[in-house]
Amino acid sequence: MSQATAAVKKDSQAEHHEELSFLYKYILPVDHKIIGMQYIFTGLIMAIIGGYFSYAFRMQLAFPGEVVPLYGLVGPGEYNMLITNHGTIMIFWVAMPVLIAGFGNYLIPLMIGCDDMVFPRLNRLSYQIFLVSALVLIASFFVTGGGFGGAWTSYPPLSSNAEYSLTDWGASLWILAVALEFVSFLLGGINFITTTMNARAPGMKMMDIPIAVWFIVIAVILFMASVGPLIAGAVMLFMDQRLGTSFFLPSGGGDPLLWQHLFWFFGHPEVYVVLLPTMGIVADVITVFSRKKLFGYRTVLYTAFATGGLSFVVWAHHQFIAGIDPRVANVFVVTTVLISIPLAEMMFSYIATLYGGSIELKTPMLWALGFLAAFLIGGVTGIYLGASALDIYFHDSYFVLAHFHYTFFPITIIGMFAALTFWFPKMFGRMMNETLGKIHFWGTFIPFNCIFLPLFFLGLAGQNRRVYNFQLYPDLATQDLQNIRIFATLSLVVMLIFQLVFIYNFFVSMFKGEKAPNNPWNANTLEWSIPSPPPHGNFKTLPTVYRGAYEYSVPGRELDYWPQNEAPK
Amino acid sequence: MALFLQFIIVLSFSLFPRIVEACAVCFSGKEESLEAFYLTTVLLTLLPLVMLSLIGYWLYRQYRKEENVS
Amino acid sequence: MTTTSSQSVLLATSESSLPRQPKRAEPPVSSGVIGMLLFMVTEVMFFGALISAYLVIRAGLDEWPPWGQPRLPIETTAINTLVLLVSGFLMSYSRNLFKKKNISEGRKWFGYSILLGTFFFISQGYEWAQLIKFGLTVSSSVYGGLFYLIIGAHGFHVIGTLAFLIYAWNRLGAPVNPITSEEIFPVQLLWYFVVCVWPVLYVLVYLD
Repeated sequence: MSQATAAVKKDSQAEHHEELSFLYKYILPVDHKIIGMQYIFTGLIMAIIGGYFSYAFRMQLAFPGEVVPLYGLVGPGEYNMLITNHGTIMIFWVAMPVLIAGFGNYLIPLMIGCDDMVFPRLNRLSYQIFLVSALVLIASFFVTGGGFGGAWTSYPPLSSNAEYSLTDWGASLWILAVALEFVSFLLGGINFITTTMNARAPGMKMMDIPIAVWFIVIAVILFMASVGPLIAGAVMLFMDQRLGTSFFLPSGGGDPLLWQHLFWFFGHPEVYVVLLPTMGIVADVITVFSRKKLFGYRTVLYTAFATGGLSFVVWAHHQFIAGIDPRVANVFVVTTVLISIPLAEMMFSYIATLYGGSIELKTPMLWALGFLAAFLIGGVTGIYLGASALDIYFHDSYFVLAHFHYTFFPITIIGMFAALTFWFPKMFGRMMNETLGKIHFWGTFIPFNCIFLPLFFLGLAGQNRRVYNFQLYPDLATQDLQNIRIFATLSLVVMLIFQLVFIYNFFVSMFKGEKAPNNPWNANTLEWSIPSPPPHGNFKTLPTVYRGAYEYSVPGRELDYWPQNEAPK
Repeated sequence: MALFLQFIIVLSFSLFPRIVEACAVCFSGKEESLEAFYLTTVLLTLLPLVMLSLIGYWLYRQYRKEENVS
Repeated sequence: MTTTSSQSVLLATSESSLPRQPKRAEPPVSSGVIGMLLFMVTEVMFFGALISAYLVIRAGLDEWPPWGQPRLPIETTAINTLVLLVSGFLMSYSRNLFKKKNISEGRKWFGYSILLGTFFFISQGYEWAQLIKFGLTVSSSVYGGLFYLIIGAHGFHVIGTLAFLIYAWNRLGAPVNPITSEEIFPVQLLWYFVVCVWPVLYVLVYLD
């Protein structure tokens, strides 16, 4: 942009900061804060749908063949549709929009000190495509034949042929929704990286950027480099379904393994795409509430780079028993076990940050600590699955299911609550109720462990995933196994009931909560230096940054925090 | 050193795996298919790493140059 | 921002919309270029996946191309390839002229480059019409499916980029709300990508 046109634009925009009509403020916004909140709210609504689905199919497993209260009878096809869409929604329509698109949009400009994203309209387009994709997915539940039921990995030939999947349009709409959603995040991702590169406040060097922003950016880079093959695969699958090609059909000369390659090439980096934002958010939360400098800022950052690099070379571990060459499998065992090293290092850095700090157990801190504890179990069980020999036994069992729920649940749900409770004062200008927040935390965290710890044992007992009714298998129909299933299901119901506490707390605090000061947590980063909620255009004057984001309890200062934009004396 | 050599020897066993007969789905089809999968695995894995490191290095140099000038 | 912008619709930037002290330094690489480079990473991976699919499916079949399927026109497509490459060179020539501030001359060569690109697209379309007449369709065999998938994906990129280029060409010399030659550089980059990926696809799909 040339200087002259920029200058002209500046003036016109400065006025526009004030006089936005309702339409342009909330329906067609270009303001990153509104877009971020749109993503978060859409994600929360989708989370309710996904949670409802999990309730329905867990009830079916615990009490097979009985009418599920508030749902009705779950048939076999419907069961498949429920588990498929539970997985799809929770990963693609909850984890990604809330953690990356939602908090990324909200936090990146605030934390690096600029007034908006570099490409605000691209940003708006990104949300609009995302909304369309969510609507397409919801529409797919209501077409003839029902929603797609071929599992969220949608392996062909089951997914590529209506004769096998029995969901003619459901399958096509599903793949269309997924492809649209990726296009949307692609546009958003370009924005995040470019903004962080080019729009930082003066004085903010690479090593002054808060870890949360860094990790969201690294996650987005991973996403952008890995999503191409899946889009290609989605196009091919869609053509198989609708145009009669046979890319994935052995009968027509295609190869079903090909889809698994394209899918998992994206699918595994995707795990780190959703993990890294939560890791970054947790880093910010634990430093604030232990009043200590982040232990090894650079180390944490480099481990994230190492994780990102390695995440491209581990994907075939999902295919150990899919018929790939055992020699290839060996290589992927080594890389899979290797990737636990940088992540373990990151964990140790966080624990070292906590060590010796003056820890304040506010609600966001509880969530952050809960994340670290739960994710640790998820990470450790992953090492077993990474060994190709063990995987032959564990593959597609409830052990795998429990493992990845111990990673995804902390990442998505616990990480989301940590971020929501931490930035709630900034977003809505009011404080959340601490007591209700703590009740909600314990009411979620304990039942969560009660759901998924037993599932490890079910998996070791040989229980397979994606089975509609275990009573049909004599070895799995025993009463002691059934008791474990009932216990897990009841824990889920308890957990879902406790979410009502959060919903109540969220909406009551939003309108009636205590007014929040600019900096309720005494944090350093730039977003706390402006009013809550931030006005359109964020900063009155462009802030200048003098130091890193984690200068807590610096010796020789009477305050135990040191805002990034406070000029040195 | 001796430990390292032992490690290498043990590791080299992994180059000569036996087919897992107990596994019902562990078959691999034609040799050409296997090679094509090899090739594409290597291609897809290295492409993003190479591209990202090149672009990252180029951007790093551009921004470094700017810092030196100002 | 909502109504008065002089920018192309999607690449509108808000980089320097804070009219207040202190000033942010002008970045060494413009946001448009960084954004386009990242987009190109995704595009390379997309075509990488299509190439992988081609190699894998081909290796799985004994006879390639399958029996009874028409052969692809190698010679005319070679000429077409040449046309596209020349278009790419002209684009880079116009970029050089832009750099020397010779906007009107640069715009002329920019236009020629667009013309050659359009020629490429039309003659590919004609080729498709002929092939369909000879019985090569999406569902006639996996060979046909791959051909239309890969060449069609490239075709979509050609037409999409051409649309952006024509829009940019039009606005470059417009009396009201013109855009600068720096602002269209990202779109030119995308055209380089479209040009550079074609020879790879040609060698893979037609010659091999």
